[in-house]
Amino acid sequence: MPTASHPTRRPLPTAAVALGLLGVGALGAAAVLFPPSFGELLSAAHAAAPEPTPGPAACAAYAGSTTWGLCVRKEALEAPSLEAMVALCAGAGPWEGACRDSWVEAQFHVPSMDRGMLLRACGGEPDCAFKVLDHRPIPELDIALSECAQWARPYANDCAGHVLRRAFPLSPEEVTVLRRSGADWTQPHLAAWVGATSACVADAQTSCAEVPSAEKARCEAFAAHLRRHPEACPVRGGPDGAAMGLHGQK
Amino acid sequence: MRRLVWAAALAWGCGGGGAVECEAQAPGLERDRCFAARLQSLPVTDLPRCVQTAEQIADPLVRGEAVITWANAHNRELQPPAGQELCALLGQLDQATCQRRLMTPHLQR
Repeated sequence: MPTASHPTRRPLPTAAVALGLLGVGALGAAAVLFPPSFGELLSAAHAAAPEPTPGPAACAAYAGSTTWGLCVRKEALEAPSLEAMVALCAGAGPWEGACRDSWVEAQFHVPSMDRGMLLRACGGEPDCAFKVLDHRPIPELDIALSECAQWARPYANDCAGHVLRRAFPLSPEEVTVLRRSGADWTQPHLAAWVGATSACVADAQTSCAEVPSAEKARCEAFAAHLRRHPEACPVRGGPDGAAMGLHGQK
Repeated sequence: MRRLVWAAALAWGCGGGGAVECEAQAPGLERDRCFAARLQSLPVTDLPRCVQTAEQIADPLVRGEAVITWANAHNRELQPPAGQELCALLGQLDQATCQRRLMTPHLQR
């Protein structure tokens, strides 16, 4: 039974077959009698050749393979502008994200590249954005935390941990700003770092009393744990909460 | 003599064949891709063989792709610093990517 994908093949009419054979024969005879010049062959080959793969010439050896994208990434490092990088990396296939990421990382120490531009250059790659937020920190905690949620998903919690570690110890003013800004206090790092400040900093002015009531218990539990284990207290510029057991918290 | 030929054929057919195949190829990208494919089939429990296989990939980009792909596939099974010796076989750019895949907690979840 014929189907859409396997239609019944109809026999070709005898006359059409004969004409076709005659045509092929005539072309063959013409080719023997009037051989084309080398130039004609060359131009015919160019006309028939598929479009060359756009991209860096240095990567030609890898055309058609997945390694092409990795080669494009290497070449894109030298891209002189964001636009040039985007155009190059667009051809990197499955390595496009890594391509953008590498270029962005190479720009971290270029002062003229502002962080907004770098975040956009990541093209939605959350790990790339996470690196930008880490390397170009801002002092406004509330904005930094909302940027983590906006750009570094699904790594928003880890990103928030880095922000709060850099800010440690948290001042009462900072906690107040976080409360007023509508920061997401269900974010486990927030209550934990307030608790760490109250437990680990001598004469700390910040306490769990400033944490919204729903998260106060979490803050107090962390503070109690760190009072029992002061060796796990974070230090400014130290590890981002690994010692406090915060890694992997959702 | 006939027994020897049969034994060799049996050994080749029973899994030794893949091992012979890459080494028998002439140096070049195809040979490198053969070793790259072999690396993807190796488990994390056989890190020395992974390193040995990666070392046989001569082209730096093919090696980089093979090792990073392997690291992506296995980073949840490895505890840092395991796998560092694999990353160390790569150039600076690929090495940084490889190490981030293997060493960064948020990418290992």
